[in-house]
Amino acid sequence: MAKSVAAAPQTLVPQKGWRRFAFNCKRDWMLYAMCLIPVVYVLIFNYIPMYGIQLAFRDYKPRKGIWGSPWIGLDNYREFFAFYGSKNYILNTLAISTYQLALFPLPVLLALVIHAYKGKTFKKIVQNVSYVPHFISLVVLCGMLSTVLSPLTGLVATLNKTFGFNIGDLRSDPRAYRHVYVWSDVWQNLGWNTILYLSALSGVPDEVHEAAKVDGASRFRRIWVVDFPTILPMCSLMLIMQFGSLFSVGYQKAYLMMNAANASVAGMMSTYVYTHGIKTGEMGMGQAVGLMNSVLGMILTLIANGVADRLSDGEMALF
Amino acid sequence: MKKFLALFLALITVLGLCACTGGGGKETRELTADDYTEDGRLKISVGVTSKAWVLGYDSEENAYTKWIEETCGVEISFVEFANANDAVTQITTSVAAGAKLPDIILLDTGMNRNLVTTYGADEYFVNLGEYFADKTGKSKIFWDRVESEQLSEVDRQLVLSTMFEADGKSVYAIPAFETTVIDYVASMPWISTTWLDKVGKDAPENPQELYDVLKAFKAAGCEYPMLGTNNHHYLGYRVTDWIINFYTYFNNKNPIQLNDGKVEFAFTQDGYREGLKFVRKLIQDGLLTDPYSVQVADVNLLANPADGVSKVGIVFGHLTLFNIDSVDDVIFEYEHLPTWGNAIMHQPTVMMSKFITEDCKPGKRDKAFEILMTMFSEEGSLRHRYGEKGVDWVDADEGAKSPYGFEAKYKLLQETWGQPGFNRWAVGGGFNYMAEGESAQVDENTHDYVVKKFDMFKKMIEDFNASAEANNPETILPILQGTREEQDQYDIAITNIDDRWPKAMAEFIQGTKNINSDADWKAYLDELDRIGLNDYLKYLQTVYARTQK
Repeated sequence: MAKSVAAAPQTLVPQKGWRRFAFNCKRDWMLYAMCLIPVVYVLIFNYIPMYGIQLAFRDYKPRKGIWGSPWIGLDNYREFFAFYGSKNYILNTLAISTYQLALFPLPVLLALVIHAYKGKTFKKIVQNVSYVPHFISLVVLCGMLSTVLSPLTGLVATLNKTFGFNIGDLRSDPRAYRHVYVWSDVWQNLGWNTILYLSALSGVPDEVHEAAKVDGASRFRRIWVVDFPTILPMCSLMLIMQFGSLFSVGYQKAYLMMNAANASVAGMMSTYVYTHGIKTGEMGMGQAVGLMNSVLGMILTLIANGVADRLSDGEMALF
Repeated sequence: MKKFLALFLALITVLGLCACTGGGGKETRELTADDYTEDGRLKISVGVTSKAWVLGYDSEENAYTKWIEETCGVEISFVEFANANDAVTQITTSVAAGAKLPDIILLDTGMNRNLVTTYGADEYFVNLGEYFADKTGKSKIFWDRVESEQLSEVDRQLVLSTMFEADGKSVYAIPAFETTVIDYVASMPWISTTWLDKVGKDAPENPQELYDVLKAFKAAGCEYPMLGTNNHHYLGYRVTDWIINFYTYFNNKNPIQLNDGKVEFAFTQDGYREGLKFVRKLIQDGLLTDPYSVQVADVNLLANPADGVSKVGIVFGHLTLFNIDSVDDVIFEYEHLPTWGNAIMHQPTVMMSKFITEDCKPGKRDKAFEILMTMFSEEGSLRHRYGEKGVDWVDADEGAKSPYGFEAKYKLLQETWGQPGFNRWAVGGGFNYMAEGESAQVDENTHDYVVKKFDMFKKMIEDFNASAEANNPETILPILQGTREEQDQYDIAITNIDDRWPKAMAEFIQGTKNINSDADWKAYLDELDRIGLNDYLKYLQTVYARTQK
């Protein structure tokens, strides 16, 4: 591709406007064709649905359609905040997200360790074994958790009997809910989350490591001064994006793990959207809370990006 | 760049508008040739909830389908919904997306009463009020059965007040009514006679005796003195409800009662607190497993261990939990404990489970209603419950009596309880007050197992009736149904309280909050006050004043 650009006479390249765009399309049509699929995807699933944002401010009646449903201003928000558990749901959402955020370094550490290990076979085995849980569906995962954590018949029961432990039912203990939620997520996605970092690390030339070795750097020192700086921009990027999803804990797992006993900590904004919005047909309410999540997420992303921008003189910022 | 941006935004708008207009052309509401089969029968689509235990059977080919098709002169096609409550979510999302609904919807566990009212008022479900206005017309089957002597006045009022809207005329759903004593009494505590013999005690008759028995079970090596679950089963009790009813009337599905003309909630009463204290004590002393942790599968496993000796002293649940087909007579080693103090069983489940949708063309609605009435008929109910006539059951001999002295209506040909899933739809049942035993004929050919089971049921029903008579039915109210305007007015209070009290109950039982602490109890009551208890009571009092007096 670079060859074709170099071959094009400079004087024939339009400087701006539609002609420049058309010229680029003609020259790099394959790249544009490749872009087309994700662009269409984003259009259909991310932009067109924005049309429905107005539902947050309407009393949506499907029979009347979006335009026919009456405007109700901020009533959906008033109703959400009049719900006695709204504050608790917001705090629960933030608690889970923050917990997950605190474990953000784990995939980075695992990626550094895998990269530093030289045995190729063992490395492959570790990678594959750690990737596999990612492909388990949430429903199956929650079923596994329920079985394993059963104090009557599960692994917990075996531990209690064999070692004389007195572990209660972690499935219904509100104090255990967040730990089970987050650590099962770590188990499921830790390996998968290393992929980006490993691909970034694969770009580090061996010569750099060789030079560091010659300078007397230990293995740990080389990780610290060679590998880690390589993936730091990626870490920053991922961290900024994770800040943006602080209010967006998915409802599926939270809902599947929720029961009457742990509902005080398991109830989150997303479960509220499902139980009080989708299940009861109050789509406007669901949209209102969803929109609030998105706006707050965007604000947090901007703040995180601003902080990263300021601390790194623009090098680590997303935009 | 600006032009590009403008074009981009215009494109989004156009695509958005296209998406919202719904695309395809408008379907005609008149019947066309496509609505008929070649031999002139109307085509009716029926949406049914899928059930795990009948997965894989062919709805379109089974005996019940054939019978309905022959009786009503239609051809039925099926739309399969998700399981249980998920089916309601599926319908809700379908409605929101503007998707076409089947002509008839049959749900397993029914739809929330408020949602039925909403969908009726918003014209998703057909108002069947006109059909029911004339008792001798198309709804004759319904009225004949509801007004028969077999149904008590209390139950009759329950059915009618549930299915009719607040205006007294509109009907958006036909209920499935499990009035049979057997089904709702069967979900109760079962005590192991083996363990009772071991400790030399009789079945307990009050909380103190229950405590002593459980203590003795534990001392004798019983691994799980009492096992139960508060996870919802659509029938009958939960373990804590049964215990609380030692102290005060409490029905978790409708926790209201009447006190000197005033509606009040059970979950704010002192008796309720005493019940919770006792539950907590049993858990703390290791006599009752955490009722929020026990899953049905666990109960099943523990009630039927491989070595034949149960590790459970008292197990709480429906008869079917005993997995009766696979274990030799394990069920007969248990006997049920009666409903003590207050019988919550006055209110059997009325499920809003059968609907005709607005997507059913007007020309098909009479036929759709005829199908529902056919299901509601005596034979429809029997076929629904027991399967194919002549294969799974036959008419009773003339003059034969059931084990309980009723006129026998049918004789079962199957050996065990059975779930004749291949010969019925399994959902959207009729009007099942003629359940097994109450009007089944037993003779010398009846399998020994069935006879033993009927004996067991007989004792259960006698105990239930004795317990029910000891209560004052006037204190027990049916579900009070307000108008849509009333529901909207008190919506926040209703949502808050309905959501909060069950969670608080769990917190007290699990010890997150201390039920023995006056401060915690007062904080709980104060919180209910703060989030709308009085508004909710005001709503119930208003509805009661209008509908019940």
